[in-house]
Amino acid sequence: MSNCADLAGRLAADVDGAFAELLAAHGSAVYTTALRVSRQPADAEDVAAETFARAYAALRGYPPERTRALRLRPWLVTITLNLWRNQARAADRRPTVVALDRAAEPPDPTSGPEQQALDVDDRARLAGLLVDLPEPQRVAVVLRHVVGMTHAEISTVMECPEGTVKSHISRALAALRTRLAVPATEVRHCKEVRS
Amino acid sequence: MTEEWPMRQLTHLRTDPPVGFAAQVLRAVGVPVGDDRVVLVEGPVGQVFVAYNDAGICHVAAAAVVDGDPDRFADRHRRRFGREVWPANEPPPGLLPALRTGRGSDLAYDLTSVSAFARAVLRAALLIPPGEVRSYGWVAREIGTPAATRAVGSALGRNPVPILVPCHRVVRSDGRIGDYAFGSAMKRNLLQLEGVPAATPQRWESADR
Repeated sequence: MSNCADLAGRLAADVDGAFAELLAAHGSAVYTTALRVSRQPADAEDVAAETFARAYAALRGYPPERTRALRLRPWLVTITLNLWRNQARAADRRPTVVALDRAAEPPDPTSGPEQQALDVDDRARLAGLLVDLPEPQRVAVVLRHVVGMTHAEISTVMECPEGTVKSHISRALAALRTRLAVPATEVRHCKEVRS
Repeated sequence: MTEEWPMRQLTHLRTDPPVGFAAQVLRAVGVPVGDDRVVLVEGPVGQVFVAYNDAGICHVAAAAVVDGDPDRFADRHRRRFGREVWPANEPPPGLLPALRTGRGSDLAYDLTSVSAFARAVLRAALLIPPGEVRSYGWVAREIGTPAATRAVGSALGRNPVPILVPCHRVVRSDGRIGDYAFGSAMKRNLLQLEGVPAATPQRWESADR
């Protein structure tokens, strides 16, 4: 994100003028975070939209020097995670048991129909395993390997030292490997031979 | 089974928000957005709507996908960009020659609606001359992220300015034509018009190297 500092500068100078750029630059990180940490992926779009609404309100109120100093991606993702936690807590208080809701995985346009079916299954399965991880592990591994954030950014978001972030991530990966290894080895083997 | 596993699979879970998400947020927070202008012009495979503003061309759609109806194009435009679009008298400079020759690399584009990654993908696609094709993997390597073929496919699939930014010249490395926003048939027609022989995997393969 080489132009990140510039974008914060442009937002400091003119929120309305640069806000569309903020959406284009970080929409995917925010939406992916909301989609992949949640047991209710259907709510991801609302959480992501609310993230940007809060961000906009905050930026309107910040003095320019505060906006200029923002590290935009960790800042936005922190808002996303707070909104998601509030929503998850509210959902927990609801009397009915809410079923695990898995959003349909979009197909991969670069592969053929058979491969697509497999990929979509694989991704749905991996997404399903992610939400079963304990929260700190899930958040850390999603931010690192799905969203693509640095350890430093994640440590800001999770308010813990980088060492702790790394250990959450390696425990999450180990758990995913164990769970994926059991029945998936054959599927994976076939894939490797075919490709 | 390498230590890489399942890191690479995890990157494939990255997902862009639905088309129109940004427009919806901008409307909700009340950010004023400018208007765009639109022209209906003759393209290589039928008429196309081309919307543009002072920064450049921002939206292209085959007239066929909206039944040639300017109101339906305006709806599509509003949903995707959150902006109104008004008929213009003149096409933006360079548009007609670019459509005629299949070379859109000298035009000005407003690609602020897509991510920096998607912009890099589209810029790489602009390097493919008419009459040639490349694979999704070629684009991924060209922009320095060789593993990101899936993300490349998804960025090309959401190309806001197809035909001019020639995402139709990106095909599958096994020689099959791959998806296209306006349908595989139009993709095949475009490639045939540009002189790419139909279903020639070998040729497409060689373009990959």
